[in-house]
Amino acid sequence: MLTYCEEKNKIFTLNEYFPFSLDSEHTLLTTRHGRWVILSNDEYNLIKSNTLDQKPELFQKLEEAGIILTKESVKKIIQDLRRENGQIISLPTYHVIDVTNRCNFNCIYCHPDARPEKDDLDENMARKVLDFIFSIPMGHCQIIIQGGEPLLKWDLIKFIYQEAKKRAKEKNMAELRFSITTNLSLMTEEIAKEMAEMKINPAVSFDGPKELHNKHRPFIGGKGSYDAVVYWFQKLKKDYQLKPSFLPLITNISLKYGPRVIVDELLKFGERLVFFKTFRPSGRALAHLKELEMKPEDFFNFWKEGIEYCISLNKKGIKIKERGTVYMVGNILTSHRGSMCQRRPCGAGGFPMLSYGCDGTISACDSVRSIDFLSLGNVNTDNYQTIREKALPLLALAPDLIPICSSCPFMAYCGICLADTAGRENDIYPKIPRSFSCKWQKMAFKYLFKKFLAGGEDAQILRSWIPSFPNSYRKCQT
Amino acid sequence: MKKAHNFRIDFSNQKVLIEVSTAVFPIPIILHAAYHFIDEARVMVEKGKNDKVIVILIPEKKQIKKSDLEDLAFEFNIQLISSFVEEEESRKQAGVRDTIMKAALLPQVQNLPQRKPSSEEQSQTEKVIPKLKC
Repeated sequence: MLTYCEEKNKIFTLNEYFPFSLDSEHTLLTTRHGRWVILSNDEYNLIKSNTLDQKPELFQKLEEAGIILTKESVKKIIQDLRRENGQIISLPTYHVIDVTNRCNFNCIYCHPDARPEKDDLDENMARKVLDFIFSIPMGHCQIIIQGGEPLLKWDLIKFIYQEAKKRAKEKNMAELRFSITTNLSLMTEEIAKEMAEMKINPAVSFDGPKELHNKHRPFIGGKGSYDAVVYWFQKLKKDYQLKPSFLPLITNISLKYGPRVIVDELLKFGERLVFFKTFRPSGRALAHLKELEMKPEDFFNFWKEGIEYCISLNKKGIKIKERGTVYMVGNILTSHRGSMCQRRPCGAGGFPMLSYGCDGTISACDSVRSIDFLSLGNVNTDNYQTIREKALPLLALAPDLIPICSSCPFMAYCGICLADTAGRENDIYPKIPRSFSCKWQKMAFKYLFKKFLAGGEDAQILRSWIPSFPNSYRKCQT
Repeated sequence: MKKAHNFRIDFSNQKVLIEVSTAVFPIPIILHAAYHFIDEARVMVEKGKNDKVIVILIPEKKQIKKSDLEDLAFEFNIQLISSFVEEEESRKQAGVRDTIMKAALLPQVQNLPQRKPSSEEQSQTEKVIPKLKC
């Protein structure tokens, strides 16, 4: 229904919006394109009774949030939607190469279920993987080396690095980023020196205090790996001026320790970024699900305590932040999507992520490598176009298209993890009322929006956690 | 079934049977509402007499009271209306939503490089096109 606002001299209509009661006096209104506004009950009543012309300043607020559609607000909405959905029509730029399925660790939740007797990527197949990657006409690219334990194949990693660099130069690529995820235990002085020359800052599998880390990540044979990991972590920083980062995973075992000890452990090693990332129920984790599985409300309480602790440390001048929260706050406040997992749909399947196994198998993402029905093809037989076509059904995993999600007030900010759904449901399509990530994320978004409603130092600290992305800030008002 | 309500409690089998008229609520709305309960109950949907559909909810939680089953039935009825309103609102907004989405995404889709069909696909197409022409 078109309405005329005399005060503003504008014709307008109401856009689709999703209300959520934050408390007895305030309602959050969100939109499909992600802009939002928090209103008092009186203000909300004016919308419901379609008497907005009585309060011009509210009209402006709602126009800014895209809840009122005018010529001007539609332009902004279109820009937001382009930025947020850009990934589904852009080329894959994030490529994970699995160089080995062997590992010297026996981690309780290992996604690829790495074992000593398993296979490696060889040079011939690595060449084919690179042929595939560089056949995609992308302007920039990130290659992430994973395993198993990648350092078992250091010579091959050097080959991939040099070959990728050469090909990127031939293609006049603006940027090639190269990273590696390792447990560090097989590091040597020679590898460290070469890694420093290549300027590769490794992401290190590390789960927190010694007892917890050793429970999660023992060597084969059962000995704890903590000492080896922290020895090399410190040495790479001190002697080689590298900037390794820790990558913890959270399970039900972590919950017993609480978030504070994990944060404190990371601070001990000079880290200023903690990540409460939940384990994915795939690979070896499936065999230990009883021990690892968390209730959504328990994980939420753990996360919330961790965030409160990080905020309290920030108030004391210790600038630590939690990466998952950075992504969620980023999604609330900007149209930039920082995380592959916090997108709509997630980045899996060449939107913009692909993962390559040792036998050339192409998977939608690294976390689903052990799930056969999610393999999209093989570098021996497929080209980018055929992979893209096979991955198209994954687009249906956008919350906009999933029942319940499609009318959820947090639809524009959350992410549905393909690996999580496949592991828990043996399906790619999430049954939302049963979804672990839906349940805890709903609580988390409610918590974050309440922080923004309350304002003050806590909200300021949360806002300060997100990096600056020119032109992508939303003006959200409370 | 009590006159005042549209549900019947079968306490001995720990379930509640809710009768919904398809003259009031379309079947997709009834299924949508039922879907909301798959985490807290086992859900079955059956055809009833005349235009009725029976939704059976068996709570996952054990040792429930009769009032829990009653509450579940009332919750279902609320969800039914909520699902109906959501669907109505979504339907009303569909035109605006589609126009905005098309404006946002179509120009970019049209700029994407198009795949050339393989020779095999090409010959398949050629086989089909003359048939269509006929």
